[in-house]
Amino acid sequence: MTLEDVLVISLVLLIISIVLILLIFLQKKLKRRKQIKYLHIQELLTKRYQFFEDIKVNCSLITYIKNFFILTQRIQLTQVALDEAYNFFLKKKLIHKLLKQLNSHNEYKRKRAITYLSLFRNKVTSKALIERLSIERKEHIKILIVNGLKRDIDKTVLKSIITSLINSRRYYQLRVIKILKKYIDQSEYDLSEYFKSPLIEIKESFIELSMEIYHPSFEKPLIETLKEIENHYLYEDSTLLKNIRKPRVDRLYRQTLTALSTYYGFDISSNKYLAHTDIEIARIAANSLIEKDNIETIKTLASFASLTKNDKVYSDAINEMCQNNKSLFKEVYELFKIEKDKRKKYLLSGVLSKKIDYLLLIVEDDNELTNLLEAMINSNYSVNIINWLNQNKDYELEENILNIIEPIAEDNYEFYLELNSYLKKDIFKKMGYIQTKYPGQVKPTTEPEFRKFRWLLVILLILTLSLPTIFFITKIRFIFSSSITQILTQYLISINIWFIAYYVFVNLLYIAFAIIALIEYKRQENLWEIKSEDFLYENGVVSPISILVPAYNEELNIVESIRSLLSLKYPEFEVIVVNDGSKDKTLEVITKAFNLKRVDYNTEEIIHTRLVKAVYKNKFYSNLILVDKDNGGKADALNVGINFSKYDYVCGIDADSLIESDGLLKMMSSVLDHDEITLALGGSIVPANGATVDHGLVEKYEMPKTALSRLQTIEYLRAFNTGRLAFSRLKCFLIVSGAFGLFEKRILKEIGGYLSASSFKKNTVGEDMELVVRITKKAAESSLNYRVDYIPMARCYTEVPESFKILRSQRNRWQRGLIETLSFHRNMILNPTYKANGLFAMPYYFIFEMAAPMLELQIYLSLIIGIIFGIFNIVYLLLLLVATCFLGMCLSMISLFVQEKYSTPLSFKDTMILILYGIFENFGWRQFISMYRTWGYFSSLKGKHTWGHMNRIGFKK
Amino acid sequence: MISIKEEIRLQIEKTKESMIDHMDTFILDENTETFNEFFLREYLINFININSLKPSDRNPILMVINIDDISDINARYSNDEGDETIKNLGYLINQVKSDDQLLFKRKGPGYILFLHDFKGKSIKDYASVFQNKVKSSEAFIEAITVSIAVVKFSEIDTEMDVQEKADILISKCNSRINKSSELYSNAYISDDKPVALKSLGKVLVVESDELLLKILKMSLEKQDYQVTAVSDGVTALNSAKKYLYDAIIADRYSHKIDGLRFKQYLNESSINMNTLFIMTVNNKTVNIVEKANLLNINYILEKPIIFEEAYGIISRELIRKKYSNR
Repeated sequence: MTLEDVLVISLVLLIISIVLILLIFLQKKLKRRKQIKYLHIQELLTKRYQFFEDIKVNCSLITYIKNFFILTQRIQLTQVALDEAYNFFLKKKLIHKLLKQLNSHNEYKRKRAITYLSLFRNKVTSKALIERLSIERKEHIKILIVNGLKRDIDKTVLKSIITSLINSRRYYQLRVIKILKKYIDQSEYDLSEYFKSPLIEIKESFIELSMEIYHPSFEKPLIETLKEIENHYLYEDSTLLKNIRKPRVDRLYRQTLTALSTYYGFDISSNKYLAHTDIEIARIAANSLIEKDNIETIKTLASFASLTKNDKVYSDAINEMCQNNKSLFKEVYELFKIEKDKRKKYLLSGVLSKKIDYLLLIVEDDNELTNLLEAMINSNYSVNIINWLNQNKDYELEENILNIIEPIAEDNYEFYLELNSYLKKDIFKKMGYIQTKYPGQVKPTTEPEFRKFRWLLVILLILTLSLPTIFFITKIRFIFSSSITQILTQYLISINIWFIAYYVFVNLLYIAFAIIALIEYKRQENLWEIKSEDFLYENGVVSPISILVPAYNEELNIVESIRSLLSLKYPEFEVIVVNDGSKDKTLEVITKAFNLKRVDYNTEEIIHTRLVKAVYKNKFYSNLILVDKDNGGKADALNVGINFSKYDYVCGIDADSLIESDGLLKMMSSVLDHDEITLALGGSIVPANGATVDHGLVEKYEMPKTALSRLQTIEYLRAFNTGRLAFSRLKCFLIVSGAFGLFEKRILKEIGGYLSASSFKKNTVGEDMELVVRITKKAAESSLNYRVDYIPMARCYTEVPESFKILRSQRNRWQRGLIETLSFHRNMILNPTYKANGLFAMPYYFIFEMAAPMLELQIYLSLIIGIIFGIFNIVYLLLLLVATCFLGMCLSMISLFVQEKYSTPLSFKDTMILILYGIFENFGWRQFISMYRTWGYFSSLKGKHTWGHMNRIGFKK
Repeated sequence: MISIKEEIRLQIEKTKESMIDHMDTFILDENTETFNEFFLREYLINFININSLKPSDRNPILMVINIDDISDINARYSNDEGDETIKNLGYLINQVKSDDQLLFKRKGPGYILFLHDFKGKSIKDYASVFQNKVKSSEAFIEAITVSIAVVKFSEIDTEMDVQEKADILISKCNSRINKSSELYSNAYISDDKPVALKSLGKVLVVESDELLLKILKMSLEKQDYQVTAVSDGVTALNSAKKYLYDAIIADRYSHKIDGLRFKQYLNESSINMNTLFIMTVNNKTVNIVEKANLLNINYILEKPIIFEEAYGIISRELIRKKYSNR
């Protein structure tokens, strides 16, 4: 290759980059124009269909219906308006086109046709939807049709919906039943015949339905089902049940009992149910008694007290009764006074502890009060007593209470520790004690990682010797016939050639990723645009989520973060903040801001974690839980969050990040586009150092002021907008960022949660990637039909390091995390069992992310040596520059184009800045980052396990 | 031999002594052991006397705190439970009030708190602290609410004699708090004048969705309402702190401050606390309804909105208001 050739290649790449830059700006202009146009059309459509003004809307048919769809998401139009719109589209032949698209092979087109046709709710559209439902195979499309038909359920619609349940997954059944429950007028149909169905999925669905609605005709078949299940437990004689697994039969049993006891007054208060070995059955039986709220029922429930955690079942039921009939509290107290059995006394004290404020004011006898407090404390219901003492101002009463609890504290060390931690200092002092620092639990130890060390050492050796060895083998004759200078010159040239090939390959690979990403982004955006809010917010359509927020020394931003999370646009979710033994005032600022009170808790430890010290709640913020625990690291805090979570999906987010208000909905709604089980989803992380944040909302997105943050911004764009999206499309997405990642809880429980010293005797600083790799590994080994995806539209804003020191520490940690994950799961590399993950993703990370920086070090060294000694070939050197920098430039421009096309557009100035940084980052920055990663390899070899420190400045407000 | 005259004198002395011994029975409420209304009158006379002798820039206020649902509690449980509720209210007020305030038990189911010198910005805000504390307290057999009436000393004619002033103050307290039963629970009554309305009604709309905000504004204006349309909770709150509205429509997910928090702030502020509040939601769940109930949100409308429904609620509220003001 000659110098001219190199110059021609450079010129071509330069022209491509310039074209891309022009496209970026053109895209910006078009997008802005489209936004204005759409808003104008929507206004005109409002006047046309809400106020019936005689207005003409000039735009293409597809734009018309798109905006008409948006309008119907905001206001409910009258049937007259809908009919008028329908006739307009019919005249324009759009309806005909949509009816045709209902049977298209393209899933997106089918979904779009269903969504738009569902708007009109007339006989023609209903008929077409019913027909499609009968032949549709994809459940995610079937559910969309059911949603479209929900407001006009008649006999035919009902029959087709029920038929669609045959051979369906439980996921689909549950959603269909939720919709039916809300929209079906059960008085019109005799649904009981469906109970007789020989198909288990129909039976299951109707038992599910019977738990939600009452119908007299359900009673008999429910009782028959109950008998059938009970007989099956004894004799295994049911033809319907013998082919299904026991957990499924158990679920059916519980549901039948719930339905019968809730709606049909079926008596399940016998010992057979109340003392059932399945605690859930006992709970259903206990709950069935709540309506019989009298002291005799309470006595019955209390008789099952056993001083085990099962007692909660009975105490919860009694508590519910007392909440419904407040006068019962007094009767419970009277019962408590005369009760001699310690087990019953303790159970009742748990109920009474809920009303401690009231009891302390009315109980005047000291002996009675002593008995009561003693029972509460010894049965671990002391939280409310301490809360009361902390807020009380009646010193006479306080003295009395302190006199009672003082001797108890002397005998009960746990209670003493609790007082030491949670009772106000001055009150504690009145008891004659001085508050001491909480000693904490002994930190769990980790096992030494000799195998990882050996593996890394071998790789390092191979990487160091590989190039000279290849050179030696390929040039053996030349080596033995030439001088040292000639050998060295040839060696340097060879390295140049190899690396040119390497960089060309890598950058072309990245460009291919970018093109794949562009296609995938478009697909996801299209699917999002046709999702109606009416569908997404339909009860139970998108799964509820537990958001887990591990917080360590986050006193500056945590309150705003929580407020922002509580305002997320999502149908049902809870926020679990886990204070991971912060040394600052994180705990205090949260409890103060949300007026949280310490509460009693009883949670099953699914994953072993460090000690949970306390749980805080507030009745008003019923979906906020604060858990205070001993420090154990992020993974341990997330595991605690999993233990406390009540929903089927958990979403881990960083305490200092901000999720866009509809980010969670965008992420989770993607589940509705697939039939595979969604095991994990990752959102996009956007550097927001320059963003203006007000009350948890990113008001203005601007470029950061420092060069360091700008360079990282372009790097994030490339990684998230192209790399991760392409991996997701190729079904081998392995890095769900810890700052915003969603997981299915069932799989997390199966694999033991995040890797931490408490649960695995092992630690990693790359817990996010390690978890996803473990999930996919388990899923592949269990032959699950699963998906792990990246959703770029679900955005989360975060701060990136503003100093080199912190950046180095962060990159070092990332690299160590990657290496640890690859090391722990090295058996997956090139293993076909793990499909694309084993054959592509893992080798990719091994070669290009782990090994490549080490090899790059060699080329830079060889270049330096070559330049110093004047041994280099100018053509190869320039070609290397083209392969690294010019191709890299093209790649950066494609990433920017993707960003402009699908994200919130930046200002002209900011886009210009990004373009400039996108060009210059190829001349040094990428190489510089590569060096940080090399350093990470050596740190890993040294066995470093620390996280380093990230100094947050906070968002601009 | 003691003369009859002497005997009478001794009898009087003895009776006086025994009365002093039993003084507490006259000045303290039997159930709550708090000073009673009789004592309050004497206390007021002394207070006015002392303060009229020296120049004073004090701002004394009487705040009547009355249980709204006492008859319900008496009927549902027993009179003893009612007494207990009153007693526990006294305990709760003592937890909240500062040391320079004195609590008296009034004849009705409540108390009069004497604020010797109120220095805060708004007495209404201060009153709402008590109301919120009571509402969220677990110290009662069931959750209760209190209505509050305030009477400022500055309202009283300075020319009156001292006893007359004390009587007028107490009678104002009683007449204002009695008004609360005609209004609603958790009421606040003071000398504030109602704001005159120019249009059919003033409505504040808080909605972060640009299109829906426009539609609501357009629709309500067509019905002759004066509409303030804002896209986030912070702007809405600033507006609601300045102007009294007849109705507020806020989105559950409005930016910066969501609908629930917005209402929470309104409940703590002195204005728009009792304004008709409609919250729009994407899905009406038990959880949201429970929260809305805790915050006294009047209506929850599901999206997509049926505009006629919103309009109907607002117009009905205005009619109700019109009649209750008569």
